[in-house]
Amino acid sequence: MAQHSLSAASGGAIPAANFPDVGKADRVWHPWRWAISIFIILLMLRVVVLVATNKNLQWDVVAAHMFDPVVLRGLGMTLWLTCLAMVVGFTLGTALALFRMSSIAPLSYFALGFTWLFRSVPTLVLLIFLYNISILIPTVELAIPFGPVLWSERTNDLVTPFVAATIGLGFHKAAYMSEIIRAGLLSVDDGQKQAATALGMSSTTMLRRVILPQAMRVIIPPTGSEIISTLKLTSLVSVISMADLLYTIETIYARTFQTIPLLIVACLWYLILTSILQTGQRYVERHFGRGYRSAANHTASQE
Amino acid sequence: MTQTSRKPVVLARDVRKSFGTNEVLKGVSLSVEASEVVVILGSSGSGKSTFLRCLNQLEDINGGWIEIDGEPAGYDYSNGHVRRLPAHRRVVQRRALGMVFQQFNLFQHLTAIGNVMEAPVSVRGLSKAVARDNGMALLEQVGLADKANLYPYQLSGGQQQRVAIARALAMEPKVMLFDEPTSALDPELVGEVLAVMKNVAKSGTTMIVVTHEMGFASEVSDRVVFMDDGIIIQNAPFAEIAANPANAKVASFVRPAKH
Repeated sequence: MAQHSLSAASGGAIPAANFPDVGKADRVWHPWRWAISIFIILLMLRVVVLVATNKNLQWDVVAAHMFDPVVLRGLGMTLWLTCLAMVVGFTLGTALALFRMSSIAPLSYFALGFTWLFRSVPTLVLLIFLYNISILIPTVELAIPFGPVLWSERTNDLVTPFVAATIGLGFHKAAYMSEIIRAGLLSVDDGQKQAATALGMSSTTMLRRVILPQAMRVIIPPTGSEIISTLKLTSLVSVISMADLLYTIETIYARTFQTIPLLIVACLWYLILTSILQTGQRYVERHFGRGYRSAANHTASQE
Repeated sequence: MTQTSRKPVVLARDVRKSFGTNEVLKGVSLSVEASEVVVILGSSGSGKSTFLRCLNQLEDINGGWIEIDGEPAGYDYSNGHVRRLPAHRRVVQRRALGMVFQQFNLFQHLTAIGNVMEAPVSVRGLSKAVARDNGMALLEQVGLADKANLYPYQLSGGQQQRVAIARALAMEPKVMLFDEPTSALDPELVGEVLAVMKNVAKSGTTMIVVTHEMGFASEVSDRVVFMDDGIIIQNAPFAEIAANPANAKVASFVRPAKH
């Protein structure tokens, strides 16, 4: 059939014997691509030159403060708060996601309400509120209802700025993480649950061994950006006089008036940490992406 | 084949199941003895898959009574009271039944051997080394020992289903349930899965198979159960059903296989 139609096609513009080959087509000249590329490169160069030569940036001051022990201590606090907020956020978020999907209605509504509340209140307001919580609740008591008080503590001693920062950032993150984790859990195919159930797995074993490992693939990428956003969100705790990176920087430039170079120090540290986190995320994604066809492992996986 | 002295491994009496107002099972009674291979036939929507899922409690039944190896499934009867068993007891009961699904449902994040080892380790508490040895023997049995370290997406449908059979066998179930195991496969891959199932049947495993493969029904099964609209309308060895189909519908199923 094919031979017949080919000889018939030779009745067209070009004789069949010397059909051309598109593989040998001339390269096409794209003037606009070149124009845009050159414009962007020039613009970027101008920015680099501006940053490098602007005396007001005082790069010597930046260099002097970059590894200042006080700044590094502030940096440590920023990292520590990021860690705590994410641990609280992930743990509480997982619990909230499971509560939300629970068949026990009040539990489900509790999770819904929690998420609603802590996503609605701005983090800055939440932090200031927690910082002043002792005005609302002067003492915290542990007591048998209508019975004797077993333990009592002044709220001011209990909710230090550090505790307020951890709770504030942690609850805020938990509200966001619960939705991310819930999306991850829902992304796992129902057949996986049926197979696990049919094998006699309890619901906790199923969650731990089958559902969560597969949900992680969906949970990791947005969690990565949540960690990065938390890192920057910690700068809010400077308003409740927690000595994080930004607060430390502020106290230094309040004394020396080198505002711009010190803010550059802070920005550089946030940039460095974000870069490290992004690289780390790639490796974690690769780990949980095993068992799935993707650009990364496609060629290696062929039998 | 059937002897009255043998105790049934699966006993279902008047099992009823509804989804909302749609009554899918309208009183199904079936008894299967040890080492028996029973094929369930019927058009889609006849309730045959639902019945399988009720046997291993993937679905809760609305009425009737099921016993697996002499133990009431999901419920307890004492002093004239029927009581629902707590979840942890039902979880343990499911281990007596292995299930093979139409869509394989292999764990996507685990390799072939990982899939076979998972439940023996996390459910039965075997050591990883023992579970791996047993698992490799099972993969050998289904002809996939050389594919042990591949992930499900790297296997063909037929290979995935054979791994799924090995995974179910790894729990050493008393009964194997097959829910249309070859329906999702390309025609050229059906044979390899049926061959593995034949071997499982030969090894004396009790099997209940929902399938449209008349070849398997006629060659391997001891008995064929024909379901239609939520009830069993015929229950006899294949040859007998082929010779005397209960009605035209049954005939249309079993006749084409009889050349």
